[in-house]
Amino acid sequence: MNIPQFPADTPTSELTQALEDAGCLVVTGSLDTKQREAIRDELAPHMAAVKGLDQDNPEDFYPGRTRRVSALVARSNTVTDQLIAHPNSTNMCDAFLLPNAEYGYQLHVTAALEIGPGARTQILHREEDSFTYFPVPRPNLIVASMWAISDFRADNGATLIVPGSHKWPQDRVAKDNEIIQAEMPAGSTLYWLGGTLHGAGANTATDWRYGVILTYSVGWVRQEENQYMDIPAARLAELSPKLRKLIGFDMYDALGFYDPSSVSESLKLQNSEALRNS
Amino acid sequence: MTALRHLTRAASATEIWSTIDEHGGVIVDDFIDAEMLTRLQEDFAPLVANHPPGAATGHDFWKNFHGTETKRITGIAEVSTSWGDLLCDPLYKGMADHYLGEDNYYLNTGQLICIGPGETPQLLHRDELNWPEAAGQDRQITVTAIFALTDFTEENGATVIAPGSHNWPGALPEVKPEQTCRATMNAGSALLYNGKVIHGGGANVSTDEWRVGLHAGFVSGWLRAEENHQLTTSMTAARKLPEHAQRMLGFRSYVPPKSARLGMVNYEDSGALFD
Repeated sequence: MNIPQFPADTPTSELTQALEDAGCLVVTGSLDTKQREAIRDELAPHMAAVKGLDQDNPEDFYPGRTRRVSALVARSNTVTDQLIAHPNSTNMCDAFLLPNAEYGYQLHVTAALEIGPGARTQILHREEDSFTYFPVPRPNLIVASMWAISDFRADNGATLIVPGSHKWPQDRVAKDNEIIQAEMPAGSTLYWLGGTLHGAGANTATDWRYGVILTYSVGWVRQEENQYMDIPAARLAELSPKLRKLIGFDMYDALGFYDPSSVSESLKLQNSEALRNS
Repeated sequence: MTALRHLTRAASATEIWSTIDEHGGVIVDDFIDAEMLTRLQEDFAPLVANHPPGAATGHDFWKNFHGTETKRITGIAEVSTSWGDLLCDPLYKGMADHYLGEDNYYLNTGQLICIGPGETPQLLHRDELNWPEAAGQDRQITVTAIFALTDFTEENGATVIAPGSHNWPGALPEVKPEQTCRATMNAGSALLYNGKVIHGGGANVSTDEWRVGLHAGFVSGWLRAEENHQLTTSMTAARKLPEHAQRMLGFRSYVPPKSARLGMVNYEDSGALFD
């Protein structure tokens, strides 16, 4: 099985059908050059500050020689304003998450991932593996997206993905010929379901592979990224109600309450200050 | 006659858990000692006095569920390091370890529920139905303690509970009044119950008594908690607490086996912010 590929203006119904069938798909032409350059520029100081690039423990879930920067709502206006609530993404979430989450879904993790020369492959995993309560194949709990800021090639670390594996039982292991690399030109978006096996590819080239991962989860699970410690109050105040809800600042039915009158700006600021100083 | 069993801290953990398993809940008399009770009462007295009753926001259903004559106060670690000490109580922690797996959970909410004169009975419910997609299985996802900070009486709103209802089939089966009892207990005692037993706040028919309970449950670490602790509790307050209490308030990440952690900051355990 291959990774289905579509242009950006493909009707939603075609995309959802392909995602249901293959568990993954690529949309080309999602981002233009200006958007990609803006994201690079906004995140450059944070990428430059990443330390310990040469350290790699083969047992670690996250491979070495990779720059990871999270908290993108706080750090990149372009990602926040143009990618997080992109219609293709919310359409996929509407189709796959709302059936399991009556009151909506939330941003699960945000990160810029730059894979450097010499980086090893990451172990194949499912985004939903944090939720061991449910047996595999699990109900749809997560929709994931990877936005190609650079070209994704077989030799520079294009994501490894196993089409169809979202329907497999836990004990089925992917054969080599079932693992496909999501090669795609810069500006494309790879979507996959939380049950689809995938992992970062090895980089045997001399250039860095730059992607932005944005994932979404049903609104009743704990988010991978603690958005409430990540986002400064001043930035939060600039966001639209729709974005604030998507990031998780609205309640999900009875979950996630706080008394807005008791949350001082200084409290929110204080938590996010700790992030910026870390 | 339907009634809950009362035990004391002299009972073995095994007996306490087996009583919860049989009835869905148990009252442990004098769970907290007199000194801790006084500390908690003193820490919380200004909050209880100054907080207005009723919910300020939310749908009408939740305003009604939360009670128009009831004060609900969250973020209580802001004013009480004693609360952090209670979170580390071996029996209290032991209950969560037993039902949810050691260090596999955090606080769902730690809130003062103060039921005032004139309050009507709360809708009976199962706590695990906060997470309907995960509820209804033969495993616990949430367990709770309600610590009585005043006496709980029939008149002032002692919790209504249906012993044995944790085994009743259906999402939320109907409960007849004769199948329920009241969790009457003296200040310092605690009602421990699992997420499947049907219960609700009692009516307060007294003229001038406030029933103050510290309602503090745990939920599996991968589920979203009722209280957004990061928006109710500052790092300044959390920093004063033991590490276990910080973990309970969501200031540590949840670590599933061989998978992405939840509640991370900078791709690190959020506890790193305290280093």
